[in-house]
Amino acid sequence: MREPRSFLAVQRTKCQRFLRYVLRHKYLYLLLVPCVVYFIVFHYVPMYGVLISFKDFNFKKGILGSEWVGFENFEYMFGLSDFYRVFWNSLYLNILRLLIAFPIPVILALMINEINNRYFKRITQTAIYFPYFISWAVIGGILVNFLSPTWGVVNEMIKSLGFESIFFLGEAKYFRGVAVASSIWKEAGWGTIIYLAAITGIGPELYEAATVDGASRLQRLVHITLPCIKTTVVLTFILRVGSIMSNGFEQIFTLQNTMNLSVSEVFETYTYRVGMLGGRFSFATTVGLFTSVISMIFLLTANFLSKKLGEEGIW
Amino acid sequence: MLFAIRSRKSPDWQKRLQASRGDKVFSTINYVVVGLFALLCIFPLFYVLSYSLTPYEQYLKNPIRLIPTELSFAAYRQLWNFPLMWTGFRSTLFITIVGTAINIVLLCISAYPLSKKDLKGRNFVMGMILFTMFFNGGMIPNYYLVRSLHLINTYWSLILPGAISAYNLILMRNFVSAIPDSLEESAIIDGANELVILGKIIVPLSKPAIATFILFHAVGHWNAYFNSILYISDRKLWPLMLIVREMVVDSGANMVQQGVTAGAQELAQPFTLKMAIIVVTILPIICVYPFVQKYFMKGMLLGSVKG
Amino acid sequence: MIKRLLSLLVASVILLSCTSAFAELKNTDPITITMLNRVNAEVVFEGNAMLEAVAERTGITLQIDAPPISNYTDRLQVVMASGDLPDLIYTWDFDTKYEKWAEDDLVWALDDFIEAYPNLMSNITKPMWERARASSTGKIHAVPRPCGSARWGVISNQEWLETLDSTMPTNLDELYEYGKKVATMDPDGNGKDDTFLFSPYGLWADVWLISAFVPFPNVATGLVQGLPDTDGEYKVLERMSGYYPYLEYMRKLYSEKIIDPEFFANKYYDDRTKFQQNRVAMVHGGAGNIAEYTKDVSNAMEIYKFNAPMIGEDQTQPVNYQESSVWGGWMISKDVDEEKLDRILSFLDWCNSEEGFILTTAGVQGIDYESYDFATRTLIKTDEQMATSKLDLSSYMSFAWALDGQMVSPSDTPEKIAFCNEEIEAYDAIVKTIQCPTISLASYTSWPSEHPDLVSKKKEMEVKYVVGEIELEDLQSFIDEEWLPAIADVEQEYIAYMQTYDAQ
Repeated sequence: MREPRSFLAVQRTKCQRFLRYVLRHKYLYLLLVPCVVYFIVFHYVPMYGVLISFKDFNFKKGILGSEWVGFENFEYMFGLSDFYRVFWNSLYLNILRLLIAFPIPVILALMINEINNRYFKRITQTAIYFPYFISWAVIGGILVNFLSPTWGVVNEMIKSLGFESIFFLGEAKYFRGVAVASSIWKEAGWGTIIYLAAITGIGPELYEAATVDGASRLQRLVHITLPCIKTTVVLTFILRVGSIMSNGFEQIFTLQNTMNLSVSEVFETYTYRVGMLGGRFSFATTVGLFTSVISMIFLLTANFLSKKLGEEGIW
Repeated sequence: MLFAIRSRKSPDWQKRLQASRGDKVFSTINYVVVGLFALLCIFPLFYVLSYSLTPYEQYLKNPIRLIPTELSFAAYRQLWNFPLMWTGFRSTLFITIVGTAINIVLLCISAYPLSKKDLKGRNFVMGMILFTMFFNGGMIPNYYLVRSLHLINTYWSLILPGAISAYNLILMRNFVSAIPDSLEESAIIDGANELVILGKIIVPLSKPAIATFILFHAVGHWNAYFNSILYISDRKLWPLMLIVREMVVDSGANMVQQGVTAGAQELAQPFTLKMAIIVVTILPIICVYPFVQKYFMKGMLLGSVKG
Repeated sequence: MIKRLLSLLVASVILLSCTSAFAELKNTDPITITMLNRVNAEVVFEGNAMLEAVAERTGITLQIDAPPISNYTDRLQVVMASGDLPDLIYTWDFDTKYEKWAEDDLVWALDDFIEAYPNLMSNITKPMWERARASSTGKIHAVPRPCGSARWGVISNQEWLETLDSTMPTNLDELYEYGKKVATMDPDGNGKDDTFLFSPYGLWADVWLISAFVPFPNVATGLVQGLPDTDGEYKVLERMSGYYPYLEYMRKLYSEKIIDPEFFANKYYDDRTKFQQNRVAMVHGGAGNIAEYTKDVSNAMEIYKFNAPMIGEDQTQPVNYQESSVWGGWMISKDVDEEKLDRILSFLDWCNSEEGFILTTAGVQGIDYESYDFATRTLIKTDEQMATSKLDLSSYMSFAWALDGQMVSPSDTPEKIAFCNEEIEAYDAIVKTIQCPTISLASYTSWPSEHPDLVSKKKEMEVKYVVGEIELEDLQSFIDEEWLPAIADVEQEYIAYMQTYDAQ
């Protein structure tokens, strides 16, 4: 007899406590309101578009009115013989990028930070950003020319040294190297920005104390700078793992050709080609959903591991 | 301590000597490597600049010359005379300035509450935000949304849908977390509420981070074009990047089998035009960057992070 | 007396020719038609002389929504899904997207209406109409845009022929011999081993060579061509008697370094760029291309020459296989009522008449051009008019790009036009042009989307064979064991289709 009332009473006190909490931190919640509203309106309201992958889209009936086909689109996708090769190519290329291309901006940022000459620092900093602004279509074109076995500069140098010219883009084995190297060149400079910002936040008194203790610059770098930017590096790493399925359409498309296709076909170019051939309407969405799920799993795993190792995670 | 170092025979002095020799080697390596990399990065810009000024025929004869033999401003003249270039520039300027301002304001006010780990509901909101990094509705539902908000054919359709970037939010939150709690606590003791803390402590101490994100967002807006394809039909509102892409449309598959336009006239070649366009679109950023760069200098926060 | 009779005769002839040149427009009430189309970036809609003239003549104000050309398909998809369709919509392909729109009842089926419009029926031939037939509904859902008939051949660098003391090859053996000279005798004189006969864009674009082996029209992205093999039977390409010989020939050229070893890395137009850069001796092209090249290479008309395709072993003259030239088409939204449909169709009909054609492709006399002679297709413009016409007109914005198989003008200056006409005359004198029928099979439209990997694998195998990475047996076993079985249904339907087609 008394229980229902006390249950309600418990709920009421919980509510009151919650409201009191909110009022106490009202400004914080107020500040958060625009963010939440934004995500709901611009991300969650259109989210039903994900359903296209589960439907046979009919233009007249729209997304919600189209016929439900369950996993049929996924079955089609998994049934394509090239799918697994494309999956592996996308994954492997990204793993290479993570291992080789990811540390470079960090190292570069550390090195730039150690430069004392203001003019040299300013000029090199601005210079390394340039490749980021030139689109892959243009860079790819220039690169293909440079690597040409008959007319390219690189091979002319190789030939003058007495070796035979290498057909970089004509053989599968060089493709990944070219892709990763060109990525580094294009993106490393811009990638230093976030780490330089993190380094700027390190209090100079830490360096002063170390100098007085007789630490060399290398020692100061390893024992002060690195640990202080560790969180930023770990965070960017985890976020980078979150894009493990994406390789950038333009870069791959310009460097790709029939002979290196077995390693160069990644999801973006694959959906483009299948779409061009007149593939299913929802194919790109289906592939997109699949890669999103895989990427999310990778990110959550990376986040979990990093927390286990005592680092900060995204949560 | 200092007196101890003065004595040349002391072990500290020896260590310092060794350290300074190591320093020199370290320093040289730094300068050389960074210098080489910078040269490698700047070289294509010379290439682009050079071929933007070279008539196409010269390019055909020699595609790897860094200094043009013949100068031709045809490409630049064509861009200057093209009215859409100017409206495009104006559009992009508006979108970049207003868009970045909105981005930064939203970033700052959202990162601060999210940096408080013990705030109830914080984890839920973080999860919600993270989810949107991976899943989104696609072109068609987004189009319906923008249309129902009556944003079609306005600049707002290019500014509002991307107003907060989850990626940047997470990074910003990380920077804000790094600000010592002691500062906040002493402000609370002085009677400040969270809004005051945000304005007087968090934002001033986050200058490097804010500068970073201003740069990221500004460049993002500057280079963006895809949304305007879907949402903007009025050519006079098209942003710069869209127009330049149009001018060098790789109309490979669009071309009619046999010759295209009867009446094609003296046009700078697509290749030369592409080069000129790259120069023109990078130029504003080069001009703006030096102003932002000072925020990345060491010792910016000197004197502020004292307990 | 005689003078008066003569002038009467002349006047009546003029009058008669006038009425056939001016299409009848039954209704010229003002009306607005909304359009989704691709348009060049430079075109301005306000104060556009051509659009104003169209409005005056037909009463139709065209409200054009022109998304960027480079991403037209993305915008088109969104528009079609938005439920808010413009009246007239341009589609550049008749692919599975088009089939879907037809199937989902978004655009009018035009079969029952088009017969009432004489110019649509006369300028757009039956094979062209067939291109717009959707196999999903079996009906025609767009008005195709007729395009100039293609004359395919090969453009040669005359300077190299002279340097190497040769004449232009006309058959496969001569081509091989010339190729050997180009590869070994350094015609550009730079001391390096970097000259080749040609650098094809993939294996199936250089129809000037392919036509010597198998019947193959240029735009063929499909599996079947609609023309019989040498024995008179209809077969898929891989079964034709010239298929393996063609690949073997290419393999021979590749192994002896006669063709560019990087050919498979060519993106669209790379073959032309390499030709203009004096890296290769020949390039695939059509009549009128050289006049265009003068933009890039100022003396193109002196040093390059347009030639007929190669003559195959069992051919007596070069052959030009032509597919019905259609450059996209115009769909009409189902949301318009029948009356507006009639207006739109009569407008398109008018654009396919001489008057409408000239107005929409050449513009307004005095503003966009000085004078135009329809019979010789000579369009004369002053410099000022050249500039204005760029603002008023766009090839993408035309409704009919060719009348009676010819464009409004092959080029833009009198000397270039004369040059092009000479090319065409010389070409027509020796080349036999064969029309390829339009093939509309249900199984064939959906086949590529069911087997996308097989299509790219075949391409890969062919290139690997030509490059020498695999042997003939490997290629043959792939074709026999994987390709042909997969394509068996299409093959059967095709053979049956062609037999009924022939019987008609």
